[in-house]
Amino acid sequence: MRPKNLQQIILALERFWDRRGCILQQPYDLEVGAGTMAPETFLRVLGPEPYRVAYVMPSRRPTDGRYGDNPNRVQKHHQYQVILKPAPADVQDLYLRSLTALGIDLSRHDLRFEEDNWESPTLGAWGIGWQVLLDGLEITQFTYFQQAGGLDLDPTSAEITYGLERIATFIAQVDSIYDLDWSAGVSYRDIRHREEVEFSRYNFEEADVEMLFRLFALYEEESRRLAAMDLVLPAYDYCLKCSHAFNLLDARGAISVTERVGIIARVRQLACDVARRYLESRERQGFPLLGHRALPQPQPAS
Amino acid sequence: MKKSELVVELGMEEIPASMIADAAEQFAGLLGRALEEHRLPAGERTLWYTPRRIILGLEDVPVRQGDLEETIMGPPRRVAYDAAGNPTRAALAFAEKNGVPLAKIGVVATPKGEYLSLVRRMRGEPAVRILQRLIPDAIGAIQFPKTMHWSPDRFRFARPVRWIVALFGGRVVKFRLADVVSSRITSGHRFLGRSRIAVHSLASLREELERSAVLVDPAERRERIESELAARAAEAGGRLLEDRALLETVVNLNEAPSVVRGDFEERFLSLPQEILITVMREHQKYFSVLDAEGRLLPCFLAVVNRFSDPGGEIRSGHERVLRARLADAAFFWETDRRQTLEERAPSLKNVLFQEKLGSYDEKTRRVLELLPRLAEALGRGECLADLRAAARIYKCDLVTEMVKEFTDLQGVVGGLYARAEGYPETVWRAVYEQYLPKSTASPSPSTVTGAILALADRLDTVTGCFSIGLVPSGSGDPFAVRRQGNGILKILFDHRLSLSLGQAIGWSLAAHGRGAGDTAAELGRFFEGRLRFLFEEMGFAYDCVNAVLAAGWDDPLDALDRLRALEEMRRETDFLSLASNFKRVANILAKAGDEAGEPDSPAEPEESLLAEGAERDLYRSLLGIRPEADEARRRHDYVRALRLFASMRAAVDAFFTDVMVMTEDRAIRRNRIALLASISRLFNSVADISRIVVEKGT
Repeated sequence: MRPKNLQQIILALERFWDRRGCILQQPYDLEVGAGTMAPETFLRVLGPEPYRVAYVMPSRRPTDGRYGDNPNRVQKHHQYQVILKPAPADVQDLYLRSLTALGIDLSRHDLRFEEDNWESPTLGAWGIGWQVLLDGLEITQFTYFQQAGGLDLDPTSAEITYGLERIATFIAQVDSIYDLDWSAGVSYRDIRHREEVEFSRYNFEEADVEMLFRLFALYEEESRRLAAMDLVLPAYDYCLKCSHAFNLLDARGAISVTERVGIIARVRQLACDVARRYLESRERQGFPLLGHRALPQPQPAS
Repeated sequence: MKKSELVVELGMEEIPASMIADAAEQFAGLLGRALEEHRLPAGERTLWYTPRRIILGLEDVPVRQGDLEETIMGPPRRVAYDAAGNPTRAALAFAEKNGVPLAKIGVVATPKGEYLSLVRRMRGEPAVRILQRLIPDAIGAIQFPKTMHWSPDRFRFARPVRWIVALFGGRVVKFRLADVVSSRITSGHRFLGRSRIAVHSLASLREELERSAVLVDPAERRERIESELAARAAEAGGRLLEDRALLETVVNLNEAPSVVRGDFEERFLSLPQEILITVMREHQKYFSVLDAEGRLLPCFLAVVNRFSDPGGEIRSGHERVLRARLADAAFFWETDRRQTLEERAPSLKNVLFQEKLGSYDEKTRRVLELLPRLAEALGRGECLADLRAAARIYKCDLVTEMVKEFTDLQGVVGGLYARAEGYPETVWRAVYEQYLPKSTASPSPSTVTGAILALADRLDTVTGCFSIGLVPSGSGDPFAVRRQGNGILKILFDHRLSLSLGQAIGWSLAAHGRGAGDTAAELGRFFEGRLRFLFEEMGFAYDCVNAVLAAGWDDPLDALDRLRALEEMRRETDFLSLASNFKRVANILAKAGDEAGEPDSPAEPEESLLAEGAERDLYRSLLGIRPEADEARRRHDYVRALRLFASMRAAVDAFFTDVMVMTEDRAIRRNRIALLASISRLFNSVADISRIVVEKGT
């Protein structure tokens, strides 16, 4: 059945990836810029343990706010994030079948994979892949993760990041995301417009710069302190808080280009430290998911 | 020898459009060379590629390597056999070492006497066994600008390899690579074809893939796209805006290309054409259509990866995407202009040019400091007011939303905003064209004001980068300093601007707050290298380039003029003969320079010391042409100057026939050296002609 609104698209993806053995996670409860930053991606891709997970991730990019005036840009959008570790050989086909499950008839459209390599300097992470264009519209970022937290990844994970609003506008054939149906009869505008207006104003005009700089320093300190105690997961939370404080400062125009490089390096330092310690911690625990019956195990090199 | 067809198809996930053609060529070259080396020379080659496959067909590959005969030399016969003709230990050891009975060992006569020898015949291996190694090796040796890993064996490639067809004489050549086992199974177009298709030859591969909506031959795809682009443009009542680079991209992005035309609303035509074209090209890979007057029509041509659009859904999808893009651009165009460029200037403090070289505000300040000196040195003081007006705003578009969104339009956007703000054409055009020339093949700014602004901007970048050690090296040139250096020279040439580079470098370094010192010397070597590169790219012979550069190149335009004259003169016999004799002059002077006491030879010979007729004639000949030659040099009429030099040929010849320079008498020797030095000085002001390579027989 062709999904008719945003939540039906989410339901269809959940059903699809549930059948492919994914753990359906809930959105992480912190502000992040992308689904990649949630621990379910950033930390799980490290080390040898297999994993398969899918989740919706509300993603905040304060500089993209347009006070609810722009039909395509919002300071918060929704990603549907899938991690397949190790990347199966038919991962592109799996992805294409998920589009079919959304009722998109690929035999009637122009879909292509165009080179687009993803990189996150704040996470010390990068991958190789494509943006997926459907009749010229970018609907997905498809990445083979190569490094995270400055560490080489083995096995390689495949990351599929669907832009939910984009896919929804494609399916509904509307020009503005505010015209989308969120649920039957309730529009995206009904649910989210006021939020865009208020947060745009907050992000661009009212966020307290001095406070944010102070918070950044406090979060950074806390992340370091926790990491040193091998409280890796809480340390990562504070790293994410740093990242969001940085994004807000950026939207406020409070960071000069010279400072920018330095601040990104500080967040990366935290992320890399957490990544290294997370891996050590998993190793001490004996990589518990290795050999797990319900997860596809990485094959040894032939 | 029986021969068979070899077919290899490498099936991959979508390889970036910019990499596939080169990868295919590399693969064909690597495998072809490997086959040669293994005595399996192939016949006719066919090479095709699409975003998802490289297909190589080789005809007439021998099914077995040629046999190899190897002669192993043993000990001399006289050592191997004793007087009685019985084999010694040496003979037995040789046979044993090679694992053959003594009876198999023969004797050969060599110039050094007779030796034992063993001819070993090695039967060639079946080709298929060698191919099992060579094909995966060749695949693994393909180089890409960026690679990834995906499989447990950590094999690296641009994108994952998903299937390999390898057939020799119709039979599968079995091997394994990156978790893929070779087979005869190929795969068609992702949505329009079958996914598991068995093939048995190159012909059947092509045929089956065509049936499965894949045009394997890039030439065929290009032809199809070009003809459809032209047809769709004509249907729209216009003609295609040619774009070779975009064409190559779409050829390599699609397996089943066709062209869909879409329209956009006329209201967007109020945006500058450059912006519309860039939005369509950079963001959507669409071609533009122009009317007879060269004005943009409100439509676009999209190359899509399928042969038809029955329901028109693809067209309306692309139209919707472009509408959103153009709406963004229109929004930027409106809102950006609420603030003038001049009002934006203070924000340049927040835009970093380079960490150690500061912000664009500082760059602007340095360029403003440099401009009056450049304008004066170039004799273009009248441009200074416009130059200053342009320089004050030339980087301000970096803080507009339009440029943040469409970075490729830097400069162009600034120029368009300046025009909209009512700046005079010389000013807005200088801003608009500041990034020209983009390469050695592209034009320089069209006005002299634009040329000087572009020159100052690049000079600042190049000297700045050198002053902080950001020097281009073999592989790395992060700030494209080489290209900037080429740009400086090309601007000087295209606008025929005469400039002392050394002086300009000094001013620019001073604007950076640096002294000349080592950096200036390093920059000198850099520019000499750039000049050499450009001259050779322009097609000048390397020896002429050497000759001219040795005579100085501080004024690059002057060096170019001298080079052109030299290139013209080198065809004349008198001149060539003079050049070959000049090597002797150079040698003598070099040797004289080495001897203690000789360098202080007088600047000019003394006529009274010229003992012999030939040397007096030579001196008179020099005096005869020198005033006119100096005058010709002043007028930059270097052909005339070189022709005057050539007129001394007979006198030079006679001098070397009759006169011994290195005579015992010190005074006379020094005087002769002074004579040659005077001639050399005069000639060397144009070119060091001793560096001209004179081929024998001319």
